[in-house]
Amino acid sequence: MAVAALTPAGKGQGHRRAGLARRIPARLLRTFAVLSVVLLAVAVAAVVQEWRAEWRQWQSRFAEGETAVHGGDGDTEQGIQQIWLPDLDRVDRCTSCHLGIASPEMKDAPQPFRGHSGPWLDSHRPDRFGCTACHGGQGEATTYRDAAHQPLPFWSEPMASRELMEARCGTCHQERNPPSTYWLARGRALMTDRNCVACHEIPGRDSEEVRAPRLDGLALKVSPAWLRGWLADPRGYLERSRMGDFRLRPEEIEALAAFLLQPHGVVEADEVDWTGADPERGGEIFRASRCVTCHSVNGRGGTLAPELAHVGAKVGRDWLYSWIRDPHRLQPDTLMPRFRFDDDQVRDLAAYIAEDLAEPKGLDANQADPDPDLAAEGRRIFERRGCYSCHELEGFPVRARIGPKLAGEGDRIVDPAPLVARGIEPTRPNWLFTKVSGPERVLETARMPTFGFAEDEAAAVSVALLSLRAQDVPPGRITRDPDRPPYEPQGEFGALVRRYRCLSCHQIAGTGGTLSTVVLDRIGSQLRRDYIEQFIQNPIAVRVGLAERMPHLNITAEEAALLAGYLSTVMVDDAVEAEVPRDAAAVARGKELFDRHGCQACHIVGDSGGFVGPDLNGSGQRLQPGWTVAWLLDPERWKPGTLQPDHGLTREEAEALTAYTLSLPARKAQVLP
Amino acid sequence: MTVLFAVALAAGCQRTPEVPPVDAVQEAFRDGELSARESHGRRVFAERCATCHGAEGRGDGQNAYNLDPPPPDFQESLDALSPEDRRRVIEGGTAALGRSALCPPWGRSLDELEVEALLAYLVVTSRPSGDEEETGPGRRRWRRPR
Repeated sequence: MAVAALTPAGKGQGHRRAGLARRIPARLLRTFAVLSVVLLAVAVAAVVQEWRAEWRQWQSRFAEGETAVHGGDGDTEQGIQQIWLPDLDRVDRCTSCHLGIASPEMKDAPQPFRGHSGPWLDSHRPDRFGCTACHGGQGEATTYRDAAHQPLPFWSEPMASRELMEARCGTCHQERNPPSTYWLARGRALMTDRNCVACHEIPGRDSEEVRAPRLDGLALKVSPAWLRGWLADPRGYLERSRMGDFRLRPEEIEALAAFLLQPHGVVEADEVDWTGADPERGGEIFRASRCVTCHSVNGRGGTLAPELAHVGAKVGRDWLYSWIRDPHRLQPDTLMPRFRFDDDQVRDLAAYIAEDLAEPKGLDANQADPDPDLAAEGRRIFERRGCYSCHELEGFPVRARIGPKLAGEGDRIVDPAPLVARGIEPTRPNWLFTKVSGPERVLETARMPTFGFAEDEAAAVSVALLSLRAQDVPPGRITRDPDRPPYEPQGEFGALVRRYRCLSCHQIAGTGGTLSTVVLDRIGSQLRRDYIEQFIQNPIAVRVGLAERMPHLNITAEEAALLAGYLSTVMVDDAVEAEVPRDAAAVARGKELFDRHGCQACHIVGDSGGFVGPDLNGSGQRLQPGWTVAWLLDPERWKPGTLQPDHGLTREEAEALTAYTLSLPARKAQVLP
Repeated sequence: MTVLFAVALAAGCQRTPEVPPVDAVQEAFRDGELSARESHGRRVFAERCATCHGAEGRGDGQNAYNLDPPPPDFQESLDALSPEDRRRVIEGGTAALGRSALCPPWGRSLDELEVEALLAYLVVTSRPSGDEEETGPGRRRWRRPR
């Protein structure tokens, strides 16, 4: 630069330059000489440093190794490798050092040469996805330190741990959880369970249903002592409470109770004549109906519905009667089916629950009715804390989201102070973890309730939140489920499905619950029509070890015929063939295969066998042969995660096994009508 | 004067030493002493194996007493099996070693990661119990992999 300035280009200027030099003082010339030497030194240093660059050393070491293994000329230099992803705004040079990343034979090589583990590169080609989109880190860097393998000051995206990386999966996989993302899936499920979407707009989750009881007619249902106790500490009454603790002050609780216990909406309890109520008989109905498939009693039983050991101390028995008689009248969106009980059965069942499941828990000492004058203040609290985001109440808008949108939560700029005060590293994941564990820990005036997550649950929710990035993912990168409207059964069939709430446990076309492992989409191809009809009326579990058995809904014979007819006609899969040859030779061959594969380890045949899979006695009256073949050939296809192993059978073997299995006679006690 | 100095010195020393900040979320991911791969293996084991082998591999699953020969206690049996043979049993069932067919093949149902996770968890189940007391209680601090 300096030289260039002193030697302007041009012809015939030599004598002028000489003149110029004569006029420059010696001191300036000396300075200039020193500076030139410094410049030269810097230039040399830069060249040497570049020549000794980290990536160059790794590349030559890699080449040495390659020469040693494969021979060849030891071509040492490949230069800086770079993957440019304009749509993601990323430039990744990681492969300059991670030279073996795409080759399976480098699976056990030392880093940085190790081949990528797992099957991910098959579906996420490095040239399409790069590295940092999944792993985090600074892609442009060419040194270990600058790539942010460890946290790097002023770089907000250090490389993610194995668990936190799942958040980055969730950024593109917005609706369905990809395989091997335990924490992401768990966090999303928890967010659904706690109705996060009631208060927050969450990208990809907006169509989720909010599950919380309507509060109209609450005064008919609960006592003031219970309501006070509940508002003060929901988990004190219900360990698995889906409602969080709003950290209300005693005077707020009093005002809120006064407001909620005012008459709201038009809800009336049925008239009941309690004379002749027989709690003992009610207990029998409780057990025979298998209420514990969904409810628990003293922690034992299902998890779909609330614990019942203390419910008699919470609700009045008149309300209980009306509820069991027709839950859908009081709570149109409840998951609970309307069992077909007569009025005496309902009365006895209500008497049993009110008397025998009434151990007091979580009740406030104050049993008096709250002062109605406080109701106006209670209404303000109800609005301010956004209670109506989850709970419907007459006169309030439905699902008015009072919380901030969660898009961009994964890029939130966090305040380190509350974390530093708690001795926690002030990183973004830790901030979210702390907030989710207890919102008051990062902001004393937070309106969000404390959900009482266990540590691992809070960590899972943090992963789900971290997946919500601020920068829009290019639409082509997002995996979405095909736009499928929720399945709504129609007609007489639909009315029965709604009455008995089949979809609280079963799924049809992706709609419904997951309590039952039996998806109904192709049930007509799996089971014989007469068996379905009989099972619906009298559900006997064919899997002995199954804890969550279908409840006894007392479905009538006509209803069962209608349901079975519809399921057998409509809910079928043409991929399942109808008939299978079942001659004596096939049965004998099937028996041999059955023994060779140790099937009886899990299935009962005759009087012996395991308790894992279905009892196979009399399965010819239950199973469709074509389905049995299809199932044996590829169980994972029909039910991912099933305990039925895939024995790699040929079609001929599967048909023989089917012939044998379906030939097994029913046990005497099990003969179907 | 000397006494005063001693008191001041003692007070100075009693100040609690600086505790390094905790990476709270990583601590919460830890499944006790298990690594990420081991706890993944534990989940796969719970799903596919525990019904016979028991959650900890003690051979006490709910279906164990229906089986003859019964599933072994891994603390006693696993050492006799080389890692290659363990993989062969997971993928091809006990029949792959010429034993009974009671432990079925999972090679077509599990992917490579799940098999590796299972292999890692098997080692955990075979360790003698009571290890925790020997190495002291408390959870291992998470360290960033180097």
